[in-house]
Amino acid sequence: MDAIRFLRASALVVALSACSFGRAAAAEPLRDAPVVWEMDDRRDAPRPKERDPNLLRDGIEESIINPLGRLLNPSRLVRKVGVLFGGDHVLPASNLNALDEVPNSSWFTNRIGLQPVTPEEAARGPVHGDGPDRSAPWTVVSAKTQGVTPGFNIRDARGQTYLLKFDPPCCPGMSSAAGVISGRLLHTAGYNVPEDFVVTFHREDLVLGEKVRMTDSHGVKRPMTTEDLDRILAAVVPDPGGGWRAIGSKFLSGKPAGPFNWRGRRKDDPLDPVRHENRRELRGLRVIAAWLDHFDMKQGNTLDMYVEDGGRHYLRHYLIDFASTLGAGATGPYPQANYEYAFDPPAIFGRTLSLGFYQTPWERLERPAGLDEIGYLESKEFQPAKWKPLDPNAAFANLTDRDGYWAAKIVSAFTNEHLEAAVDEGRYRSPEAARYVVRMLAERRDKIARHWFDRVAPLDFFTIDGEAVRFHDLGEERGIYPGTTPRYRARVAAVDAGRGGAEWSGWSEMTVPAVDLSVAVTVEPIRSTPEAKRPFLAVQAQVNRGGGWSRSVTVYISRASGRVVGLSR
Amino acid sequence: MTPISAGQSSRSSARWSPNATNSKPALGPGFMRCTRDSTVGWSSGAIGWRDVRGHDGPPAAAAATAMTSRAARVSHERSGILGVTFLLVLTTFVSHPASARAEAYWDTFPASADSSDSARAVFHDPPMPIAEAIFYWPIRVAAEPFVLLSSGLGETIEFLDGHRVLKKVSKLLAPRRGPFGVVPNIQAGGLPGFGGGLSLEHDAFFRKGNLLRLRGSGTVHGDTRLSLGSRIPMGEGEYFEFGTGYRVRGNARYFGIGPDTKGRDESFYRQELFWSGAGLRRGVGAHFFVEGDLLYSSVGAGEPRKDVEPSISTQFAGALPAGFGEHSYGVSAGLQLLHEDESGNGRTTRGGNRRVRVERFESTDKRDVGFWSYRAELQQFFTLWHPYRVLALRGYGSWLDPTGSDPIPFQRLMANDTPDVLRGYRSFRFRDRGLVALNSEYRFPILMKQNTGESGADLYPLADWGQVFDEVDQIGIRKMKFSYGLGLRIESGNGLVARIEWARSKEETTFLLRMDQIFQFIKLGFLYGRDPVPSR
Repeated sequence: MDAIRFLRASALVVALSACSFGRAAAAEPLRDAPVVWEMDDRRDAPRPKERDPNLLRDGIEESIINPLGRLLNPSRLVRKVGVLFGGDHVLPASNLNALDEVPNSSWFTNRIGLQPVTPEEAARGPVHGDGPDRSAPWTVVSAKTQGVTPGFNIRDARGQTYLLKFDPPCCPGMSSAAGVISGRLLHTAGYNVPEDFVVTFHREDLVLGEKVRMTDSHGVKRPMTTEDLDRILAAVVPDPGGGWRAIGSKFLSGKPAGPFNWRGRRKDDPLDPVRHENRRELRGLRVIAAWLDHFDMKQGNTLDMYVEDGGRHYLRHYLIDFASTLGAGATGPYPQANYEYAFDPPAIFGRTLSLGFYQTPWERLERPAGLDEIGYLESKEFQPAKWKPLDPNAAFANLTDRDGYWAAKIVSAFTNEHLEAAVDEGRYRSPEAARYVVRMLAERRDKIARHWFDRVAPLDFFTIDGEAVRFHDLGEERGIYPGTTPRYRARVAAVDAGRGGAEWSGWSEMTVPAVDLSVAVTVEPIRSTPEAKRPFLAVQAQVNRGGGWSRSVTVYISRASGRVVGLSR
Repeated sequence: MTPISAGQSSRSSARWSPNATNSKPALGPGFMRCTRDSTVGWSSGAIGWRDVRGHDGPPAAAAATAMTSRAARVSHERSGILGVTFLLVLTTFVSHPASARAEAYWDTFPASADSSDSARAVFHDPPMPIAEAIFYWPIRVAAEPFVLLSSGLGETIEFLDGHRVLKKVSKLLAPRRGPFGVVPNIQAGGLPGFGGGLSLEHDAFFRKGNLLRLRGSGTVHGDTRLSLGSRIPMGEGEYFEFGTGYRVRGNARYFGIGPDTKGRDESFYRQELFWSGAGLRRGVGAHFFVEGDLLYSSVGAGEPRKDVEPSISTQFAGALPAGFGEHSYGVSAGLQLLHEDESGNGRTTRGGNRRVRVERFESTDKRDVGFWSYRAELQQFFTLWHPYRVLALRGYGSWLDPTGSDPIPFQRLMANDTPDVLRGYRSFRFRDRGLVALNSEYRFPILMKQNTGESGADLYPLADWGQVFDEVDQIGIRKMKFSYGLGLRIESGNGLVARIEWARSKEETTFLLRMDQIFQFIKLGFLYGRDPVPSR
């Protein structure tokens, strides 16, 4: 009997905790103050020690140990019960402003998500110049001779250093195009990326620098000769147009401080107070990476640079190396990338249980016929929520619906013209290949938007216009729900700083995304609520596209200043 | 609250404007303060940002519309629908993208970081909620040993990797590249038990392409072997090879002869083999080869190791098999025709191997032992609706037809002397003049890497049927033995191959770890020291 009583008590505690976790997203108190759009993380700080994590250990930890830890984490387990009560499986992201947005920081700069970006700007991305200077031969200053794809570091006439990386032997043009395109799109989305270019060159464009050393196939380090240079180039598949084609990645300014971890903080960086798995831009990157099929998200493909900016020194956090995107792979495309982790116990278990009869979606993938520059990029089998990088990581595992919506909002802001302009930078030989990539990106974009907009109502960008609260229905404006006619409804309440005390007015329906406050505030109980007691108005809006009312989006307005001071989803 | 609909032209006076710079707006009970004498044109809501991406109209125009939506709204307030229409047309064709920079989708998003309408802040992770901490910390403390263990494991991996130990071990276990190499071998299960050995390999012996292998191994159950072989390529799939070897099994089993022997009659003996021979393989057509070989061999059978019992001499005291306590010496000459068209590198997916073989044996000792040996074998791989889901079948039959006046020594009879014949039964469980068997595996991949055809892990349910016989009419379903099991085969991208098999029969459950593949066995030949007795 005691055991039964104990079990019942435990179940009650779990249920109560789950309920409390469901509502544990205790929002910050409302303040009638300017919205925070800048994170204060670009002050002067001492230079951290360069990180050099062991990639094997990192792979094992990210693939096995950390997922096991998350699986057995008691608070996550209870929170998963809390999901049934409207909560999230983790705490909300920690770096959000009152409008549920990510302020600019050394990690992320709001671009297309929050303001119009022209296709020209999207195509330019982070690029300030026009690539390596061609006025004089490039000087080879070091060489990467081992591995599947060789590469050089070259210095141009302006003294800028670039890393030249070649396409895998199987697929000329594939990774170089994908790398440049994805870099442009990630920059436009808001991330820090290097300046990448597609470059073509001939043998006479290269000269060997002085005292260049290389490691030969026997592992011996020795001076590099022009014969070595020729031998390396001979192993690279020439560009069908003559010469060689490569992706040229300009060295980042500043001093490298090693990759950032997807988990935890950088202890020696005082400007890094938020655990990385709790950063929305890193959580939401899962959605954007899914869009781009950017599966190789190991921490080795990130880089912190200690930069100087107006006399201040701090770490700027970059994503680097996008050769394994858009269905390509740095060593050649393969279909299971983006669909399975390198070590994927559920997939292994599933295949084992089904005796191999179950056919995973990637097994149905085929590369587009006749387009040898394209890997396994497609949109039919693509499912935004099921996309997987090479290894699971803590930030991606913490993705909540709100984080996903935030990222989907960015992805859906890309127009077809943005995509065309960015894809044009990839310089595909075949125009058909370029058109195919644009079409796939557009279709995947719409799938992503649909997925996340179904979970979080895409009512956004609330502004005060005269006596109206106007907002935008991104689902409607961005054509995510063709063939539907949205209806909206809203209600209003006066609330205190803790968002409590709401006595809601009745719902009013609209056919346009705007709420007339002039009448709303004259009705009880708002009219009789003193401003001092309830200094904020809460406007709660929902949308119905024929399948029922969505979850609410609530915007908070200061009754004193009339400014939007908060938003919750 | 008043519902607002598209097309409604509410011209009520605006009583509150947050954008008015000199106003002191309020939305409380006394909030009706007029700060701007304007009217609200609600239908303008329908134009704001619509079709930003251009799904329904000219994309560039749509973007421009989005960028100037606020301007359009102001105009609408002043001019009504007509004015808005005009402005729409105007913005569609006239507006310049550069002008968009000044406008963001949130009113408060600043044009620059130093905007007075923005604020700068430091964010921190919130503390763990108490309700969560109540669950978290007790279990976290309890799990600390595991955390430390995993941390230690991580440090170890990092150390080993940092000192290139893992790379060296991996290189050592994998087939080596280059003329010289030392390849370790491990095995577990089956009659030999756990053990291992080394193979010294040279791929340019006297001439590039000539292969030389010196192999030695031992196991805890006294299975010791040493072999030296060489293969000289003569063309695509053609070669001349020769080799010699010595092998001792300290605990070979004997249950009697015939298909109806009992498992309880298990006894042991010491088997000692020596062989030396040469073979020539030539192509005779597409995928067809002819192979001839000449072999001298001796097989001895004596008392087993002292730690295993009973011995044959005890268990079968009254009916010792012919050849026990003696060595059988002899020469054999064989000829076989092969057809090989299997495909796949590592993971075989299609095609197969077929062969028929005939061999003549004559003893060189004092006994008059001679026999013809016949064998037919078919290995076939069938792809099942997926390139790497494969049904692998191997069927074979062998028969010895005696010609001498003395009986064939029992140690030269057919037997399931390797773990690959009738898995799930003990090695040497069945012995007679003839043997028929069918091995079947349904292989499906559970782990696939980038080079799927070459590396990954396959799981395979397996089933074997087979029996030994003295005369062909003894072959029948009732005497056929059956076993089944499950195996896991691993192929690394660099050619490392291993398999783990669990198999079960009516008599036994066996477990096996080998660094080879079952269907590759016949290809090993003299080069790899495959012992040639009985004839396979």
